[in-house]
Amino acid sequence: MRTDQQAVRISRVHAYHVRVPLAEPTGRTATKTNFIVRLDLSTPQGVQQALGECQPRAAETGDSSSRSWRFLLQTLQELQGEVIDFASRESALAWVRDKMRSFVQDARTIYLAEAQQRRSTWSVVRGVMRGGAELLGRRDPRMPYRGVLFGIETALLDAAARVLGISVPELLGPLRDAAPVRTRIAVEPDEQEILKHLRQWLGNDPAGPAWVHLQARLEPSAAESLIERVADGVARKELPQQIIIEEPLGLKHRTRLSALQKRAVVRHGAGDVRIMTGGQSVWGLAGLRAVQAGGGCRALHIRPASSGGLLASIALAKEAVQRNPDLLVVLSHHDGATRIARRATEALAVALPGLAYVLNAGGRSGTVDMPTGIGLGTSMPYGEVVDTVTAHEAFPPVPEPTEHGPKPNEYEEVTYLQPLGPNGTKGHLLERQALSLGLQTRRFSKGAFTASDGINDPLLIKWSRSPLSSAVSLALCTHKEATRIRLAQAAVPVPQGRTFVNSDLDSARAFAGRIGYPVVVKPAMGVRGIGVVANIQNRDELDLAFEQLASSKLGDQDVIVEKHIPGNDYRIVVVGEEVIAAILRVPASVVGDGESTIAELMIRKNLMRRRNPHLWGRPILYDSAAEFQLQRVGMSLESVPPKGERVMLSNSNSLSQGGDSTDVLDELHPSIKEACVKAVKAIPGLAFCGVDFLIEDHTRPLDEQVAGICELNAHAAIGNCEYPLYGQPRQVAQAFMDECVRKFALRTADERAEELALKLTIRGRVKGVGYRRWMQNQAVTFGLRGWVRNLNGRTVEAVICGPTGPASALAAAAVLGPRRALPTSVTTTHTTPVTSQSFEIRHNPRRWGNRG
Amino acid sequence: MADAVQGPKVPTELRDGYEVHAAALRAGLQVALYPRQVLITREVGSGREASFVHGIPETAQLGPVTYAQDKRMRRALMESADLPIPRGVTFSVGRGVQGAKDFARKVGYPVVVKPAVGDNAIEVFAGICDDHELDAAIERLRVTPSERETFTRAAYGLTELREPGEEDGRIVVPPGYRFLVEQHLRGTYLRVLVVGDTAHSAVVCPGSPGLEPVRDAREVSDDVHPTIFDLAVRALRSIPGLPLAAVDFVLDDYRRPAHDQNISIVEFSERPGLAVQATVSSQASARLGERILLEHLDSAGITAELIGDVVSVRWSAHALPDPARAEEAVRIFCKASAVAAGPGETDAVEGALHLDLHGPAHQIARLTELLLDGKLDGHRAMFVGAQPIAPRSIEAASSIQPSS
Repeated sequence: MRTDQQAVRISRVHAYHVRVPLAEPTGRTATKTNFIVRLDLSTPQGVQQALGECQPRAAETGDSSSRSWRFLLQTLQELQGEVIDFASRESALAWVRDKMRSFVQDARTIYLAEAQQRRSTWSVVRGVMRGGAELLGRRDPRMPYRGVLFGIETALLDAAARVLGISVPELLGPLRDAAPVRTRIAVEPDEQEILKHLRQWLGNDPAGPAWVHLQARLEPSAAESLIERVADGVARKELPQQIIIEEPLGLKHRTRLSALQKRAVVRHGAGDVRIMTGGQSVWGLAGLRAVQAGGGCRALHIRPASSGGLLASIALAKEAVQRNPDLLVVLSHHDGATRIARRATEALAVALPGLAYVLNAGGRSGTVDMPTGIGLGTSMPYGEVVDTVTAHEAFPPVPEPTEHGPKPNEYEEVTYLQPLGPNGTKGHLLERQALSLGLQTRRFSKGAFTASDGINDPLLIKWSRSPLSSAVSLALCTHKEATRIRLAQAAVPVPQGRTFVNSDLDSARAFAGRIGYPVVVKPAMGVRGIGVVANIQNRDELDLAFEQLASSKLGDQDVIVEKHIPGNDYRIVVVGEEVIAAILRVPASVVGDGESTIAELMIRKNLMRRRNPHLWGRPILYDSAAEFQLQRVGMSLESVPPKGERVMLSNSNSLSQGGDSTDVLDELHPSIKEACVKAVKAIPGLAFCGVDFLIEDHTRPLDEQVAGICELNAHAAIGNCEYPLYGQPRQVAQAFMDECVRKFALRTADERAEELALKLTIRGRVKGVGYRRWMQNQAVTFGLRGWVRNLNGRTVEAVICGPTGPASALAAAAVLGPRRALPTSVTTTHTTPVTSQSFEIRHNPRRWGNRG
Repeated sequence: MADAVQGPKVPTELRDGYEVHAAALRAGLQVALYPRQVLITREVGSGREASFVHGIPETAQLGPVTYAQDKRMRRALMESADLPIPRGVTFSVGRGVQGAKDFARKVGYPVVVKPAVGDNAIEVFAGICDDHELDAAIERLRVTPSERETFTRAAYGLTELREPGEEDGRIVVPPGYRFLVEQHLRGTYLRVLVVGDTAHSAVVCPGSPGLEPVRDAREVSDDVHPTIFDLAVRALRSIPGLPLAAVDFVLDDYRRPAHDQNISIVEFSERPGLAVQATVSSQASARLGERILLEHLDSAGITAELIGDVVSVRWSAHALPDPARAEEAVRIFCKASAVAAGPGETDAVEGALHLDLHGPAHQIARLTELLLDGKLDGHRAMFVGAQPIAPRSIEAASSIQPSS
C-alpha cells in the first residue's frame, strides 16, 4: 500500500456539454450532443487529466439530453476528492467495477424518481406496456443513462491506467495487437436497391464481406423475402460470397431474427450470409439471451455507449462468443465523436473477445493498432470542441478570473429566447413590440409574421424585411458597387473602388496597382461578411483573395476591389431620419489571466457569449483563420498568455465570426450621424438601415480623418445593437415598430404592455406529436400561466399570460413546437388574463364537453 | 415604334424594367440605371425622383414582395381573403418527396410542381400525371438554381445561404429546399395585369407560360367580365404594399362572371410580366410600361408627359472594365438601331464613357439595359445616366448617321 503522499487524488472534476459534428450527415441534424468528462488528478508528479466522452443517444443508449446532463453532474460530484490508491491491475479494475456498479444503481434510482415526477395517465399506460414487453422478452430491463455511464467509466479507466502507469488496453487485458477496420453501406429498405448495392459490391470487390445496414426499417415479411433472394443470389454466385445484413428488423420484431438467420442458410453449402444484431435489439446480456433463445444470429454489433461502457461491452462479447464460437463480433462507436470516444473504441478493439472487425462507417478500411501511451493516450480535444462547448461545470467550481476592462452584458431574456434557435431572436423582437402595443399577429415561420390593428392593412414582415423599406432600396443596397456609386453621387464618403467580373483578375490587379495597396476584396452581393478579405497588401495576396472568394458559396458573383480604409468598423443604425444605435465591432480575441490556456479562455468567452441573445449562436470559431492568427504570434490552443494580454483570433470584425460589439452611440460625432442619415436618404424608399462605416475615431469630425461607408444593409439584423456585448443596449426593435406605427397610422395602445394575455391558435401537424406537453414545459420554464388544448386534428389552442418578454417569446416559439411538430401558422390575439397560477393541459371541449 | 430587331433582344427577365425605362426616356425624364435594373428617374427642374426595380415602382414594400415570393405565405394570405386558389402543400426535397406523392394521389393527378420560394411564374412543371413524372420534376428542382437555365432571381429576392446538399457526388439544393405541389386545373389560362386599383390588360396564354415561352397569346381585355378583373384587384390587395401584380387565372370562360364558373388564381407575381404582353405586340407592352410609369410618377408628385419616341440624351456609362472597346460596341449597336451617336469621351481610370445619343427611346433603353446586364458584346457597366438635351446639338455633331 502506498502512503498518502504517493496516492492520487481527484482534485477537480469537469463536465463539458459539447456539440459534435456527424461523420455521416443525415441532412437535417448535422451535430450531436456529447458530454466530456475530465478528472483532474493530483499526483506527486503534478496534475494529470483523465478523460471520458459520454454519447447520449436517446433510445439507443437510454438517455435524454437534459436529464442525462443532470445525472452526469450529480454523479461527478461524488468523484470529487476521491483518493485513488491501488497497486495492481486487478484491484484497479475492481475499483472501476465497484464505482460503476454504484453509478448504475444511482442511474436507476434517479431515473425512477424523475419518472415519478413526470407521471401522467399516458406514462402509466406506457409503463404497464413496457413491463409487459419486458416479460415477453421483447424489451430489456431498463438501464438508463448508458451513454453517460460510458463516458464516466472511460474516464475512470483512464485515471486507473494513469495511476498504474499503463495504457487502457493494458488495463483491460489485450487479446490482440491490431484489429481490421471495415466499412459498410446504409441503404434504403427496398429489396431492389439492396440487391443492386450488393451486386455493385461484387464489382468493386473491397476487402471483407459485403455489409449492408438496413437501420431496422424492414417489416418481417419484406425481410424474409430479401433474405431468400440474397441467399439465392449467393448460391448462384451472382452476389458476394460473404454478406452481412445488419439490423433488418427493429426491436419489436427481434424475436424473429433467429428465424431470419435460419432462412439465410445458403443452399449447396456455398457462401456465408449473416444476420447481424445490435442497435436497440441487443445492447446487453438480456437482449442477447432473448435472441439466442430462438437459435440466435451469426453476427453482433457492439457499441460501448449502448452497452453502458467498455467493461459491459467486454462482458457482452464474452458471453456471446461462449454461446456461439462462430459469432462474428463487430465494434464501433456512435456517430458524432471526438478523439476521446475514438481512442476508447480503439482501446476496446484490442481487448474485446471474438472481435472480427472495427466498423468505420463512411470511412475507409484499414487497421486499428494497439494504442500506445499512458491511459487513453490522448488529451482534451480542444481543437474539436473549443467553439462548440455550450456548458461547462466544475466541482469544485473554477474561480472566476479577475475582470480586465469593461464587464460584458448579461441578458436574462436569453433563457426564453434560446428555444427560438440561433436566428430566432431577430425574427421575434419585432413581434414582441407589436404585441406589447396591442397589435395581433399571425406567424408563418421563425422569421415571418404579420401584425395588424384589425383596421388598417397588416404589416408583412420577414426577418427585418418589412413595409418600412422599399424593394428598390434592397436591390440597391445588396449590390455594393451600386451603393458606392449612388452614395458618391450624393457626396457621402465612400472608398474608391470598382467591380470586376470574377474571372477578370488581370483588370483587378491593374486597378489595385492604380489606386494603391492596401485594398479590400469582397463579393458584389455579399452578406454577413462572407468572402470579404481586408487589408490586402500586394498582388500575391490579391490573387489569393480571388481564389478564396471563388471557392466560397458566393464564388459565382462579381468581385469588388476597393481601397482599404485603415479605420475601425462601426455598425450605425438609422430609422427614419434618426441614428438610433451605433456599435464598434472588433475581431474575436481573448485576454489572458496568466493561468488559463487559450482554449480555456475561448471556452469561457464563448460561454459568456451564450448569455447574449444575439451572440449565443455565434461563438468564436477555432478555424483556419484562428489557427493562423495564433501561429503568427507563436501560440497554440494550449498556450497560456500573460495576464492582461489580448490574443487576436480573427481578422474579421464580423460578429458572426466571433467579433465583439461595444455600444458607442452617445460618443458618436454629429458629423458621422449626419453622413449616415444622408446616405440613407440617398437610397429610394429606405427607412431602416444598418450603415457600415469605417472610421478612425468615432468621436472626431469626419473632415478631420479618413473614413468611408462601405455598405448599407437594408435588412440589417436588429439584435446586434439591441444586445451589444459591452455598453448600453439600444431599443432598436422598439424604434423600428414605432416608425411602422407612425408611417402606416396604425391604431395601438397608448403605452407598451408589461404583461400580456395572449390567445394562440396553432395550425398544422400539432396533434399526436407531444405539442401540448411541450408548450406546458416551455410555459412553466418561462414562468407563464394559462392553458393549452387540442381543438381538432390540426389545431391547438392556448392562452398564455405573463410578462411581455417570455409570453411573446413563447408565442413566437409556438411556430416551431416540439421536434415532430410541423406548425404552419400561429395566430396570436389578445384575451382576458386567466386567474389560475399554473399552466395546465385542458381537454378538447368538443370531445369532453365543458369539463376543461 | 419599330421592334428591336438588330443586336441582342431584350431578355424576358429584363422586359419589365426595359419598358418602364423606355417610357421614362419618352417622358423626358433624367434617367439613372444601376445594376439589377434599379432605375431612378428625376424630373428636370424640380429634382423630384421616382424609382423602380425590374419596372416595379418604389412603392413596392420589401416585406410584401418577400411574401409575394413565398408561395406558402402568399397562399395563406389569399385564403384569408377568400380568393379561389388550387389545393396545394409545400414539401422539402430532403424529406417531403413521399409526402408530395401522397398529397398528389389524394387530390388526384395531374398536379403542378413549382419552387416554393423565389420568382413567380417561372419553373412551373404542369400536367404531372404520375409518381414518376413527379419524381422527374423534383429532380429538376434538385439542381442548384444557379445551374438551372430557367431560373431567375429578382434583385430583392432572398439569397440562399444554407449549405448545399450532395447526392451521388453532385452538388444539389439543400435538403430544406421546398417546392409546392398544387392541383393542376383544366381551363383557359388568363393573365391579368393590375396596377393600383385597375386591371389594365388581360391576355389568354395557351400552354404553360411558367416554363415554356408563351406562343399564340391574344389580348382579350375588352371581353373579360368585370367580376374577373375585380377578383384580380382583390388578389393584389390581399398582399398589401404592392403597387401592381400579374395575376394568372385558370377559368372556364373569361366572358362570364367569376362566380358563375370554375375559376382559380394559379399564379401571382409582384412583377408585371410584360414579356407575355410583348408576345401579342411590342406596342401593347410599351403602353403598359408607360401606364406603370405614369401612375407612379403621379404618386411621387411628378408631372410628366410623353413626348414621342425619338429623344436626345447625354449618355454616360461608368465602371466599364474596357471603355474604349465598349465604345466600339455601343457605336455598332447604335448604327444598327437607328440611334445617332455624337463624339465619345472615355476615362480609362474610372472606366467611363460619355456620348450624346439621338434616336428611338426604346433603342436607347435597350442599349442601356443590355450594357448593365453584360449582354452588349460582353461589356458591362455599373451605372448609366441619361440626361435629356436639345436634339439639334447631337445631329450637328453626330459622326454616325442613323441607319434608317
